[in-house]
Amino acid sequence: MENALIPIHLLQGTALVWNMEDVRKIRQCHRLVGSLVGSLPRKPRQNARLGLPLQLLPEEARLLAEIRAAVLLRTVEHEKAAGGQDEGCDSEGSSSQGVEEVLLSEVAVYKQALNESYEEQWQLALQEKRSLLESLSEQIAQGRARRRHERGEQTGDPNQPANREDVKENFHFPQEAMMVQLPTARPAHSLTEVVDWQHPSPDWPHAGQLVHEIRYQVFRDLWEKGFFLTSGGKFGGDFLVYPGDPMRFHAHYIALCTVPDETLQLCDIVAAGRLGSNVKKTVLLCSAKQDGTVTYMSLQWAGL
Amino acid sequence: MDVSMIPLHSPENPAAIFPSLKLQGPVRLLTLLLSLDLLEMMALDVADATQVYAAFLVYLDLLEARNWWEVTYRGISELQMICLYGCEREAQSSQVVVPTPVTVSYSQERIRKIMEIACKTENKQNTPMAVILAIVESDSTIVYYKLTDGFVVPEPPECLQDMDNKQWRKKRRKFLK
Repeated sequence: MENALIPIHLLQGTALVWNMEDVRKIRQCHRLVGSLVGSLPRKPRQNARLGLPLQLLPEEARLLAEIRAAVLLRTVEHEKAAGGQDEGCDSEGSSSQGVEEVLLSEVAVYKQALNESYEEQWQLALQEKRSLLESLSEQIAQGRARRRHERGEQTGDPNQPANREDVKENFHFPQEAMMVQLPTARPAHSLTEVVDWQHPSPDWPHAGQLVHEIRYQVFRDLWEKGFFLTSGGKFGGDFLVYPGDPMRFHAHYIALCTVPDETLQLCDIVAAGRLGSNVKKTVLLCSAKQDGTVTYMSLQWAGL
Repeated sequence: MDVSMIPLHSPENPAAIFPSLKLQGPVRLLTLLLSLDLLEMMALDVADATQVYAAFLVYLDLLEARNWWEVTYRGISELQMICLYGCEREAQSSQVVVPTPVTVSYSQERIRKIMEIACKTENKQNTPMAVILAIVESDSTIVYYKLTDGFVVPEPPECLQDMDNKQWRKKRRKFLK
């Protein structure tokens, strides 16, 4: 499974990774960070801490695809697949019946798993109740003896064995009390098809766009130099460039990518430089030529 | 001031060029000498009037306000610009200053070209190319930004100073909770 491609799901140009293990792999093995954008199931009403899915920049997704570490996927819409009108986009032999059957079988599998889980949890809950009663048996016996004594009855032999059998008969474990796992990634294989990142499509509109090409060349070059990159929106740039993992380092550079012959307003240069010096970062003017060579210029306040 | 109004090769009344500089006595002589520099810059005939004027303002600023050493100017016809060369302090090495009015916009290609040509005369093999961009506002405010080829690691934040900072301590306490 080491060489398995990481599935990156595309949704109208947004690249998302849903699997925890894949997210870890992307960060540890490929030095790509992305950003978590999902709400945490146990803390839904805040956005300081977020969870899965991991959203990747288009550049990150393309890089992973280009180094053959990941594959870009799009979900085949059910209606479309069912209609069978788009010959090109359907996976082979997925007629409407086929799709429905697949879905129905998935539902059946899910329901069966739920039932099995219920049975298992029922057993566990029963065991727990028994052990609880056992640990309290002395106190219960004492209590009963006291009550009988109060009523003036003669103490007979304690009928605990009968008690234990009662537990199983009277034990009620409601379905609502069952714990259910909410999967964050689709456990079963869904209907997807591979998207080619070299050609533009509704789910991957970036291909061939000049701005994307420049950004990608800069991104890849910086990544190959060993830097970590995140989105630079916070500082008005294209990327933030870190010397190591962003959890451990401050960014050193704010990368601004421009097309080589695109003009830069001097006001913008002043604004970027002023911001950079205030946050103690160097503004990096990046540009990529047609032949793929990337050039960098560092912009800093001269301190005059 | 509309620079295009200045008669190019007739230094009859330099004081008229700078009506804003109402200076008296010995300072006036300096102004006069400096205005001769302006006329000389114009006589180089390499750049348009706004760039020359910007170059002159920067030249003035470097000499008079920043106390730079050995400031010289050079017309570079390839770039149609006047560039300034000088040392920030006496013992330091010379730096290249590229004066430019704020209204001009540059592409990265052009900036690179300026950098390469303006630094060509400076014989520095081991240090990366660097120019100081002097951006002149219409009200003659000048801001200086340094452009260096390649990567320049920013200076680390001053930790000692920060640690004394009350706000920092408060922040730290908050994080340690």
